[in-house]
Amino acid sequence: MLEQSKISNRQLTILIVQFIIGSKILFVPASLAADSEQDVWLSGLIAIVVGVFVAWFYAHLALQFKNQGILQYSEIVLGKWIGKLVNIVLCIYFLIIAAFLVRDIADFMTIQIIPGTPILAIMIVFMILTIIGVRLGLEVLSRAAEIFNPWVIFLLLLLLVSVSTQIEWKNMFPVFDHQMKHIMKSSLTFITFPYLEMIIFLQIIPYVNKPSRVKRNMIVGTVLGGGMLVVVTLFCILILGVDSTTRHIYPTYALAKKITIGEFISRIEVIVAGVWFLTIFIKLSLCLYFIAASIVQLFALKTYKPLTFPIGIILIFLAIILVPNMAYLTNFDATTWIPIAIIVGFILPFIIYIVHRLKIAASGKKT
Amino acid sequence: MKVVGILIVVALIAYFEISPMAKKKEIKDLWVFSFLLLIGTVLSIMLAIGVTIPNPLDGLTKVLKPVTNFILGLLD
Repeated sequence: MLEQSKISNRQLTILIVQFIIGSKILFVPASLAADSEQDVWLSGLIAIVVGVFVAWFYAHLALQFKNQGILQYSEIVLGKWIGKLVNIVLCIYFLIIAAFLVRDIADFMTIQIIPGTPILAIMIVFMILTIIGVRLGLEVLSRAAEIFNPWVIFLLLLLLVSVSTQIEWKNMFPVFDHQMKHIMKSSLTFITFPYLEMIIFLQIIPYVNKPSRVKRNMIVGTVLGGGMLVVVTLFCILILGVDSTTRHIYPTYALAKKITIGEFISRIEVIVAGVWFLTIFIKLSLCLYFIAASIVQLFALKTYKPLTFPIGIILIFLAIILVPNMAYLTNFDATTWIPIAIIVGFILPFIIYIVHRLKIAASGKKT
Repeated sequence: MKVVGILIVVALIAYFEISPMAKKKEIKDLWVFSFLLLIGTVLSIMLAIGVTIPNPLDGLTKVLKPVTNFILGLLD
């Protein structure tokens, strides 16, 4: 294993929740409402049900192996060379995700908060913070997530409670106006974006204190994180309306701009934006940790810490090259990302699981 | 100017990372670190002097186009 750290089951749940919320919360109303419009809550529920299944499968796979992450047992199960190939694929997968995350937060800052600042400056500052976090190790990161947790919940509740007076129920109707196909299409982008990226936890579950409760933690985290996203989306639809929600780049931020408490506290959206900073920080740190871990495993190195700075430089480069503009990213997430996520996030671990079971069955017959 | 800035940053990173690794005689770690840093530096300098670099995601999009169309076609 990469390091001798332990994280508690509670921390695992919190990490999952923040991993799911991270960055997706900025776009989720727009992408989820794109096809299903006011039936968005239904797509959200379908996605959560599939997400629970995915989380259960990941936990089930992870618990087959003691003290080993997917990077280690892919080499044991599939053989050294195919295993290394799988590790390279996973490394590239998370390089793309991490580059998108850097881009997301930097785009958000330059578009909404500090338009005059060059995008590179924000990327570099955020990247340095993440590198510092990752170098401190997984245990420190999960404790940080635990400290962030009340703030994330408080800020989200502040957002939801303070805009709840402006709900217009007529935005919900007509219910079931859309074909099931369109509703499913919306949930597909939701399943592929946060849920099939949870494969990262196959590397983190081995560090958890009590493996017996991991399945429950995974499922609770999935439901809580997905539930928050669906509730935020629902509020966007109820308050901003379908048209406005699908047309905004950051509907959640537009929703936060609507906050007025007692007609004298208003425009506190930047405080609420703290949720995205905290959660994207956690998600990006986990991705960077995974990338470093995969390179360590690939070359059988001793420590991952020196690798973080070079990976950070490459990530900033990728964030600029891979995403020419916001529209490209939105389009990519809704089209090409779907097969990539299904192949890497579901088919790959499924093959590992099947081969593992077959091996056990074969060795059982011999003895 | 930008290139000089990148080189200074890279030199600083190399200075602070290489000496502990060299002390512990972790030669393989040193190689991988240097290789990654070299890739990062070259790519950043290419970006700084404005070399047009093709977007790898475009290629990925083209390769996966049939699969994407199949999946989205199911739900259209």
